[in-house]
Amino acid sequence: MKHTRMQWTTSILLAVLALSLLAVSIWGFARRGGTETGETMLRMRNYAVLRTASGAIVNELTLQAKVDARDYGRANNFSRNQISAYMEEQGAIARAAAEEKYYKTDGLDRAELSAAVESLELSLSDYSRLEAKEKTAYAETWRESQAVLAAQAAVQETVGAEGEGLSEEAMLAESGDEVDYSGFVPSQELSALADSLTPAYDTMYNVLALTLPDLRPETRDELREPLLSVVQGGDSSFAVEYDRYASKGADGLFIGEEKTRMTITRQAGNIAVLAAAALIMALTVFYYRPLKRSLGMPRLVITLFFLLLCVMAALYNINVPGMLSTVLWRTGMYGVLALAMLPGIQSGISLNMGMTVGIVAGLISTLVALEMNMTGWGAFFFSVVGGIVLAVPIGLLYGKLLNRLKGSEMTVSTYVGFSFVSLFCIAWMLLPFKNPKLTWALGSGLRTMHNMGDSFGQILDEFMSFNVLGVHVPTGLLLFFLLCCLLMWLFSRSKPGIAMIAAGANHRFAEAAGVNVNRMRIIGTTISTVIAAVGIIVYSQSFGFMQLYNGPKQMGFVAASAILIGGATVSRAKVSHVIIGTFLFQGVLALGIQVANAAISEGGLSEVMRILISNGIILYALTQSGGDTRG
Amino acid sequence: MSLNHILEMNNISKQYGESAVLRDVTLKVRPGEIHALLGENGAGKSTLMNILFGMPVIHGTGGFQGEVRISDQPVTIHSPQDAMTLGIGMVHQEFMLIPGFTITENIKLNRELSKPNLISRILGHELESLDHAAMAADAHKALTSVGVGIAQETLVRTLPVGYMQFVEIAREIDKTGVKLLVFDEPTAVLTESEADQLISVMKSIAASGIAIIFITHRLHEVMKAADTVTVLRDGKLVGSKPIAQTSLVEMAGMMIGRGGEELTGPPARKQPLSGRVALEVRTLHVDMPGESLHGLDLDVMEGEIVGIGGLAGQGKVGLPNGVMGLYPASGSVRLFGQEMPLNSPESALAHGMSMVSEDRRGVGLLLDESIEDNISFNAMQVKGEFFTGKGPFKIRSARKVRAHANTMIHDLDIRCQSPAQTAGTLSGGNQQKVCIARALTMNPHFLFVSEPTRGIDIGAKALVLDTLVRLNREQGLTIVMVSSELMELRSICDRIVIVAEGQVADILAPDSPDAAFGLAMSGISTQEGQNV
Repeated sequence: MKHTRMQWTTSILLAVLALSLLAVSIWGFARRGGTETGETMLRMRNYAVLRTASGAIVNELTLQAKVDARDYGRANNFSRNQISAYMEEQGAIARAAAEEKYYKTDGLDRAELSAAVESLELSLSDYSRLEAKEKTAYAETWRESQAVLAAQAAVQETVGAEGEGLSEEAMLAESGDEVDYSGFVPSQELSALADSLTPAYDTMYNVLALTLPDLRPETRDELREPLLSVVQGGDSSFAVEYDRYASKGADGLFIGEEKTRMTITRQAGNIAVLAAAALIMALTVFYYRPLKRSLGMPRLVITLFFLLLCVMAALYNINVPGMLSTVLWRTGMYGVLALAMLPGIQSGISLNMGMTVGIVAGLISTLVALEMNMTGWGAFFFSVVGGIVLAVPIGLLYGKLLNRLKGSEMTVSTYVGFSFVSLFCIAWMLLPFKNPKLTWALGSGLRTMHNMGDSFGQILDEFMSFNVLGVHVPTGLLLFFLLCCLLMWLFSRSKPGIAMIAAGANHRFAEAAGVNVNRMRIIGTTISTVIAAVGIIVYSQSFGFMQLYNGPKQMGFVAASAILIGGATVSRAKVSHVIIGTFLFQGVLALGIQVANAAISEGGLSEVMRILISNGIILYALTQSGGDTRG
Repeated sequence: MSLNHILEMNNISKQYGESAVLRDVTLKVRPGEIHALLGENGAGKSTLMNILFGMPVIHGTGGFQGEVRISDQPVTIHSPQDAMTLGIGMVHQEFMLIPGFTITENIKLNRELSKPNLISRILGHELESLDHAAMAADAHKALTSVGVGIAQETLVRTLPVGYMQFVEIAREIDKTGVKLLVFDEPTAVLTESEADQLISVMKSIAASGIAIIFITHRLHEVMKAADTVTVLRDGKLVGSKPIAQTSLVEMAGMMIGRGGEELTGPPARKQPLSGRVALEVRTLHVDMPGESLHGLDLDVMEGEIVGIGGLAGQGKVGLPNGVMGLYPASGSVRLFGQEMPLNSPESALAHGMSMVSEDRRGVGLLLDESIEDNISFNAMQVKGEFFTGKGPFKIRSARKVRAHANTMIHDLDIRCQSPAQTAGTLSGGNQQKVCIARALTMNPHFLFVSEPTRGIDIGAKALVLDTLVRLNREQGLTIVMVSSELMELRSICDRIVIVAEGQVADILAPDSPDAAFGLAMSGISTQEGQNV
């Protein structure tokens, strides 16, 4: 292995950077437990308490100054603009004066204050724990109700020109939104605990009132909520506590070296993440050539992008286990659909964009199961078997069509895929389904979205699912996906499988060995169609909703991108490409959307970012259709 | 105007990478003469012409040594455009005509005559209108001078193939100031009467003072048309002579020539041949583009190595491809007395015939798959070997495939890192051995080897040929080897069949005189040759 001097220098510099960052971060973590830091934190806490109280006085004085200014302005016949400018001016002057007077730190070291805050914190701990528990539960129900509301809105909305209903990416984006706690009602137990805090709070307030004699008695109740939220107690981590105090201005206590020390202590976690990033960079630069050779450029780029997103997610404090759960879920959800691309590529019809014909077969059989009010595993297996039975003849015919149009399969299959979806937009309106759960409330025809919740929604996801380190593993879903992969792998080792792959790789070679290339192409197309039918059933149960009309239109592109990112080319693909590709594609998509949401909080922009990321990856994947061929 | 030579190409040498394709070649053409340029495939004719026309392929590979003089002036030709300006025209082998255009439009393409109109007077001559009448007159004149009486407004698409050749010529003649025309195998696609007509047109063009370089390998056309002949062989000048001073047989000898190389025959057989007919081919027609056969008859004896030679495009490659069912074929093929169904690769393989294709990378190998998979593929598909499991649920047995591949790698000395290495990463010679290994895995009674040494280096060539001889001598395998390299055929074959124009031209012993091979290649058998 040869390295250029540039490679050596860069990777050594990066490694040194990584190591020093790591050392700094370890030092920071170590400091968190130290007594010095503990004392500093107590000072910060006291300051935050003091500052919250004095802040009330400052605000009051500022407000008073503004009111006075307004009255003065009115009395002197100022214009509206003049009044408001004068108010601002007087308010600012008053605030500066009040801050000068009240934001003092000389009360910090008073022992009574520390003791009072300490005892309040102790009694608060139980309350905080219970409150956190109840709030989490509330947030969960709140999110679910939001999802149901959104879905109902989508279901009730009439079929528009597009009629695509709700995309699961939009759902993903929504799930990251702030929870609205306005409807939160504390339990009796929690209220009782809250009442029991009063003595400790009163003690602390009295100490505060001593330090700040200008506190009015009525502020005792006004300040209760803010002060409790500052002290809080409970099990919050160092970083959370620090941030809570810092938001009250407590980080202003530090100057010079101490400021640096405390910043490092606070940011130790992020510094560790950066150290990891630098280490990855160093390794990538050092092993650039073998990595590029074994992974291929596209996979290397996407993997690095994925790691970059992980680093950013950590820096933006995105809930990493939650993210991983989403990535696993989406991998299983889309995996079978991406697998449908595999036999198409292997048999030489390249990317089977017309897999929507199989998707339609799967949708029909699922609809039949729903029509008959079937539920549970029976409904799932009925849909899968029915989908396969429907998909086989459709696949055979579609394969014959592709054999007549050799050489332009990509165009033909894309066209067939789109036009089949459009044809079935008419069919969905006309098919004689009668179950009122499926049809529009008024008139006939099937609705755009169907809730799978009461038939077999999530049945695979929840099968043997478990949580580990906060990551929700959809065992059944992943097992089903891997089972499909295993079957395809076995097929690729069988006599017809080997012949099919050879026919796709080099049809003249296969012909010379007496292989019927046309038959192999039909077999490949049929298997692809069948897997697509199963794939959409897995997708629907996992997503929880079945989408008709234009819902499946983009599926071909999503599946094609996944397998291309996994390292396949338009003429050569393996099972491993499907697994790696789906994981990377969905990982980048899920993480990318969350990071974009965190980085750009404006609602409209994050929506734009979402579309940019998802279509950008598809575009990049398609430009990389050359893949990692050798020789 | 009395010029000695219209064109002089003095001491031209050209290398592509390591291999020299032209060595110190000189060509001199006088005005008004028909100068035949003769040579086998790969003798350097095309390279010489590419230099004359300043083709990008020459400059892109490091230029050439030597001097080109036109009308006694040294010139540098950087592009086909330069060549055209200097009055050199080319009549291509593949027609460069636009089918949907009329003859006039084709002749005048990019040299249209135009006349000013109102708009062009304001906006410049780019917008002048076409002068159809003048163009038609020019086209008619050019067509008349090549001796074809067809209306110039006919669409090229509707013309018979032979006439397209004449339109090409008419286009070159129509160019003003043409001094030298190059005809690149113009008779290849013409019928005999059309060829005669072409030769008379060439003569009348030459009579008008335009020199012609006539590239061909049909010796009797050279005798009929040319004034002088220059023969190239292996990139070297063999000789240049007036036609009057030479003969068919001498030219054939010059073209083939052994060039001092001694023939070393293969090791002798321990046992004499059985005398049984292994393969009997009767009136075989094969529709393979560029290499079609038209009623070929051939008998191959058991245990023989038969060589199939001939020039490119004459149909020698069509024989294995037709018999093995890769291209549509008709006629009768019997293997050891048993009638073989044609057009079915599967049954040909199942009956014990195997083939090593001339198109190694296109037909012979799955370049992205491993060596072991390439070797075992045919046996897996045709014979169901190398599988494990029961009933319909059989899957590839990695162990059996690996074991067999290792045996083959050892037996044929395939140089590779492991049996799992992808075939595309091997060198040409080792790729060829993988192809041979796959053919042998079928345990054939009869082996076709097509162009086994094409595109591989000298050392590997010898190894491949040795392997074939060893298979023949040790296992008694009957081999038919098709090759463009006559020396190679003569070094290992028992008999050599020369195919010309889709039929057997002659069957020769390896030690037959060079001239006999040369004559056979241009479709003249030895007996006829002696009569000329």
